Amino acid sequence: MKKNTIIASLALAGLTASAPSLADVTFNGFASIKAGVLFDDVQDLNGNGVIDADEEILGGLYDKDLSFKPESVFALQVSSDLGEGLSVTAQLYADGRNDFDVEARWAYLSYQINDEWRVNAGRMVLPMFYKSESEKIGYTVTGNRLPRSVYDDFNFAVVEGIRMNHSTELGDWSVNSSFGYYSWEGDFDAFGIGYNTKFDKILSFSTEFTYDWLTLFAGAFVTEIDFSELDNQALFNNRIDENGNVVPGLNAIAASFGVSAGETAQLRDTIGLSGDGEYYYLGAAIDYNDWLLTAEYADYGIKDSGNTFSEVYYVMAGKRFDEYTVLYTYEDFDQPIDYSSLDGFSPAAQAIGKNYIDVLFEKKFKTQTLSLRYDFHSNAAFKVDVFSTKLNGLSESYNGLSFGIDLVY
Amino acid sequence: MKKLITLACTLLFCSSAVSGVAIVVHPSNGASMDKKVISKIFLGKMKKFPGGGEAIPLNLDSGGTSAEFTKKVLGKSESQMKAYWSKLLFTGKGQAPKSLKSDAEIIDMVSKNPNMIGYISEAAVTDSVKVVSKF
Repeated sequence: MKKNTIIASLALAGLTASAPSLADVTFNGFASIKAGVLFDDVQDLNGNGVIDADEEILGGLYDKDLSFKPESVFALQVSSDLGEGLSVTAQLYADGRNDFDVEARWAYLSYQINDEWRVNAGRMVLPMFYKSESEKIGYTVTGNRLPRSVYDDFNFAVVEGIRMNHSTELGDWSVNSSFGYYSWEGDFDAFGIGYNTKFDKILSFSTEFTYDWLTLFAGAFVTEIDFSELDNQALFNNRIDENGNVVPGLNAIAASFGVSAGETAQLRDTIGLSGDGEYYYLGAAIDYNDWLLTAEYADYGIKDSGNTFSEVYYVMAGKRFDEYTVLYTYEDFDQPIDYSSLDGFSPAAQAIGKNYIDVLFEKKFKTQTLSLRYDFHSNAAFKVDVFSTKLNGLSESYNGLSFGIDLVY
Repeated sequence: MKKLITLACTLLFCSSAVSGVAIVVHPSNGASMDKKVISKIFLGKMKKFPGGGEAIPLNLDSGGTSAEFTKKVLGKSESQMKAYWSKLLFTGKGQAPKSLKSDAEIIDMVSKNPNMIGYISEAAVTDSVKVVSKF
């Protein structure tokens, strides 16, 4: 409801303000038509009957049947310049992962305060990592996708709030920074049910320093994350599964092992998902004489929760040959298990807590991708890549292929 | 020897096929601009001329002169520039300079507005604009 109101207000502002002069309204867009396939079957490694997140390849985008859906994207941006530095923009976005349901990925008012400062207010993409804001604009990505180890399709990527963009020149360096304050509310799925979740007081900062061929970048955001509905209803209280059976929650399990209600409540505060989220990234990008190198490292997680910090990185190296670009990417995702928060609990509570953390959170993979891009048209590029992923503890690789066209208009 | 002849032929061909790019401003614009400044203005990183005064860059639609300017002055291909501006446009950080169809349109706009700066084929230069640099 809140989001709809914001979008409606912005749309109205755009309509009323731009009505006298349609010439000031501009339409732009981007699209991707992509297909992919895995050569190997995804396996239920822990034998629990479902493919868990840590058993998925590429976040579960593809399987052994060639599919054109998951990474195909269409977006149309409408922008109206109201004069004197004020503008209104809405970007309507649909992708195959969400059955092409149209959403306003961006919808904001923008005001250029002076040469260095611009303020945007409304609905925007959170600059979670270096390329998060442009993640879906396939044409701006060299290969078919950004490394999944960092760009993991977070469902709280689109937020509402206010952002100050700052750009300046320091000698030969261009410095672009953003400072934002946002919030997010939406559903997180667990066991096939969406649970209301809130990310409040999101304070975000990102910056990049560019010197001709070299860019250095870093950023961070902190937020108060409220997963209490999911914590209570899906994890700690008993729940009814899809077959109508009662699945005991951690409260019941703890009670059956003689853990007191007080200690169980304390356990929920310690390993439940709610807590203070902290997200950091840094890295460098080089584009020198058509040689390309980008490396990004990110570290993020929720303090005081069972969701321990993830350490993720990728390194990309490539070379442009006129309209062709070849790119190799190595990426690594690691969410090391950390039981230290359980110190001080009774042995029974510790055992329950460790089991919970093991089941939900341990995730590791390494992926290598070789991409070829062909800029066959001034507005479009064809890309093909092959990838190979190794999951935690497995020596064999899962291999796959994807190809497609990205365009801007 | 054969290689030298081939190279000489290639160079001759290049120089006769391409007339060069002229960066043009309003005749009253006294700012001196080197390649670095021109590049920053056309990449949206510098919004004023070195001597002050708002700088409004104008692009030419895709084609020979545009590709030559992009390559020689900005050091990028047209595809790279398309990606550069797409990233800014779709993330609320800026938008590409307005693009015009012909040298004549650039000359017309620049000759009427002291804030504008454009590039045209060197052969198309007229007295109504001032050339600040050639590439």
